[in-house]
Amino acid sequence: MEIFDEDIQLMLRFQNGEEHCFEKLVERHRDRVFNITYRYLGNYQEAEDTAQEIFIKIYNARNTYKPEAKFTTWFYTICKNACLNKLRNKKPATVSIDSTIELQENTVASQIKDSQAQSPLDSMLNNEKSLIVKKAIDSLLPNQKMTVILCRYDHLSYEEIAKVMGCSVKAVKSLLHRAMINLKENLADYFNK
Amino acid sequence: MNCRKVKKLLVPLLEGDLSKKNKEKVESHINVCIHCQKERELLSKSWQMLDSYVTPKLKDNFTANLMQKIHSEHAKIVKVTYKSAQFRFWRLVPVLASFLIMLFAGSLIWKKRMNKELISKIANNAPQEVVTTVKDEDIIRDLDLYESVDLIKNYKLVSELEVIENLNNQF
Repeated sequence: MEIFDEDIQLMLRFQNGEEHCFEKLVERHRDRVFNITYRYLGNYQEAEDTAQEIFIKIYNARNTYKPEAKFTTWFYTICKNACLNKLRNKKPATVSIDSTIELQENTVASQIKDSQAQSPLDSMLNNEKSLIVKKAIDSLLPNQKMTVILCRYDHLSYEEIAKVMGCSVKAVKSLLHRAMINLKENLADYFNK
Repeated sequence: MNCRKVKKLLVPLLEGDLSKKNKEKVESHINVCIHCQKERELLSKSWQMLDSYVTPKLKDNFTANLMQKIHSEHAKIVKVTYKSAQFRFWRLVPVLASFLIMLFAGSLIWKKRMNKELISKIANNAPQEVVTTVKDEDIIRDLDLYESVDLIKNYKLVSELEVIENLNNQF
């Protein structure tokens, strides 16, 4: 990932006291971080709070970063740990109605904004599909979910995922295999309609 | 290759993580097995369907809010550190005060005890002669003074007597 070479430079400059470099880093990665947290937690407010926590952690841990370590590994490890901690501390009985409504509103709004050519029917179908996928991903186990997100949406290699997750490449393949089987079972109803 | 083995290899097949030999074997089985064909199709579709997961857009003021939060948290930490330092200082004040009081009382008691010891030591062990001498000296000095004072008091009388005596001598 070439974009991360510039991140190393920004991080080193930030370590030397150039605070505006941190702001640049935030601007570059805010959407990436938010997408991970949102896909992992499934709630807009929690995802935004966690994204903020991740950047605060990066801000506070600036001195622990060494340029020898790959920025992606360091960056995604912080994201993964923050998400897992948030999920661990999450109350079991969370109200999902609000988040669903919120998702519907936001999804519809962004879809209309992004693709003006889409008909309302297409938009509605996509929205429905998005909700089904969200539900299917939410039902995965925490480690499976993170592996799927890193592999499917952030396009990290098995080796990179293994480093982030702190396990072997074989374990990553196994996690991904089980996740795919679970997703297939969760989405089977939609395909069998 | 049987269906059970092929099912296990379907995910690596979709991920392109199979050896050429195994890939050929799996594909040749899928071509003849409708059940495994359907299984692969479902897996492939569900994996592709993940693309349709649309995430909401993050607020524009996210970075500004974040920077504000970082700065306020930093200020809070500094304030808490100052407050805790202040608290620690005020908490030490009674301890220090009681320590000083105890030190003062202790020194008084020690001083008193030392005086007592010194007096008893002087009374028991010090040579009597010195004290006597001192007393004698005092007495002698006092007597001298007394005499001098008497002399001064009777100075007129003495001088008159001397004058009379001188006159007597002349006559």
